[in-house]
Amino acid sequence: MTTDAELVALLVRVDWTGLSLSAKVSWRRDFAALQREVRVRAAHRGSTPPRRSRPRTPRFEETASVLVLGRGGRYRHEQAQPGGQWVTVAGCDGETSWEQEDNPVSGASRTCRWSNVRPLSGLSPPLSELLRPSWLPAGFQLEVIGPATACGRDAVEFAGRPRPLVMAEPIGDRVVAIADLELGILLRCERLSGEDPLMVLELTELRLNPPESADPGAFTPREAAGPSLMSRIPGEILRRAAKISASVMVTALAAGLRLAAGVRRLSAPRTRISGTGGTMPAAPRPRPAASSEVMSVPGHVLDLLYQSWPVAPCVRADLHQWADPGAMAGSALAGWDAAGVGGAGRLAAAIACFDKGTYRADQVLAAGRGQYKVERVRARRPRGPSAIACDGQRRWKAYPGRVVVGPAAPLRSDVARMIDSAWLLGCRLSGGEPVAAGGRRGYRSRPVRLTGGPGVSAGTTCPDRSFPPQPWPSLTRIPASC
Amino acid sequence: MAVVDADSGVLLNLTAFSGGQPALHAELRELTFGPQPRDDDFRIAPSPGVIVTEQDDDDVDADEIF
Repeated sequence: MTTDAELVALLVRVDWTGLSLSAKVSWRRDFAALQREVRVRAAHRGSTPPRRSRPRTPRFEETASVLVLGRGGRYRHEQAQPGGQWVTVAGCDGETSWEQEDNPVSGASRTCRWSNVRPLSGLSPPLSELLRPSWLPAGFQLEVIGPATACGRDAVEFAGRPRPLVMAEPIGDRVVAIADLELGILLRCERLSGEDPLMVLELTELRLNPPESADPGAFTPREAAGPSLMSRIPGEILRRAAKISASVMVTALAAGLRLAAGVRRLSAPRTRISGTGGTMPAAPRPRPAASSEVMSVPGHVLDLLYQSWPVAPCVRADLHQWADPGAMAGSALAGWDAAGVGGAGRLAAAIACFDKGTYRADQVLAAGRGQYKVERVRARRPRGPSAIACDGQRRWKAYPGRVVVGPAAPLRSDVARMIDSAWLLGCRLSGGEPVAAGGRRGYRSRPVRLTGGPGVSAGTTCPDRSFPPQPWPSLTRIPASC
Repeated sequence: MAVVDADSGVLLNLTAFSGGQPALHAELRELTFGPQPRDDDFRIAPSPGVIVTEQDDDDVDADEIF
């Protein structure tokens, strides 16, 4: 019998780039149940539910697709478009991913888009909900149901409920899934709301090491039968047009930032900061994780992350945060500047002079059952409510001279990511060595966010759509790694 | 870079890097664990004269901290 800890380790250590398989894939959705779920979620968070639209017909839809996975991050995923003659094909040759549309009737093909060349660790899997299942322990509390068999393979069936702090708005309130005991990938994943199934994604007719995965031609796009509209336009004209539009955009942004900075200098003086809030503490620069270090942290650290909340009925702490917008924007814009996009250097300079860094400190009180209170103690540039509290039923947000009351809502994400660290299981983790920090014993790890896939929020309506993990929404929109 | 507390699993500190430069740093200090507080500790009692309004669709700034 698989234990919960063994299940977590199984799901987070999956390396899809080392798999060679083929499978048929089925994705079934109940649109009536999904529409009902959207209205319930909107009502729960106190916003206006979307207008009741006409029931979609047919109510149920099933999409069939074929997946071939080759070692080294290579894949080909063919999916028939609903009601159309075209077949969407997504693939990757191990470095570059691409999408193509084929028309089996006419034989025509058109390539839609290509990605840049990426290292193996930077590739995103197809069907990430199944092939990269670390989003489950990162965002759900899991419970093993028992042994199972699927696709003729030994597996384990388990259920998951959203972790109260991490999961803001998952699709449904329960997941029931089956994981392959040898490969770790999901063979089936079902989202439910109460007892109503919302969607089911599953592999069928799974074969390991099939002959087609040894064919390099399977992972490159077919030669297009005729030139697409885009390919008829000379490439030089397209490149010039892209450069000019990007240059105009960043120059306008730079001017806007300079103007905003000027306005702020004339506004009310900033709150004085005392104590340790002035500068961001120095941190050792992380070593880049090699691909061999993928999920190399010890099992007891994985278990510690998964079990992190709730560890006690109540936690109290002071949360200090520093951010450097210039550092976040600079590296991204340096790449544009090197590529010859005019104005990128000016925009980086404008951001750098706009603010050297920000700081804020909050007192945090958090308990189970969705109860919390976060009070701002100091801030270099106060923003948002000065205090926010939730008793599990109602939430209060305090502003100068005004209090806004509404339905219960999850803890602010920058606080939640510190208290419930399970979201790190959705990253590629290395390290795990013991250290001392603030007088306490700890383990240091180097997380790198994975691209693509459901991520920690797992709020996907489509298995392949990428959602940014919840723990990083307001603080780090730009950095891709930490 | 993240340091997780060996006893509780909460993050003691977290640093995000961008292009090798620290772009974000967060630290939990004065960390204590205790019994369940009273429900009133999780409410905000408005002072006299403070306007109390119901949340509407525009109240989306809870996560905007910087």
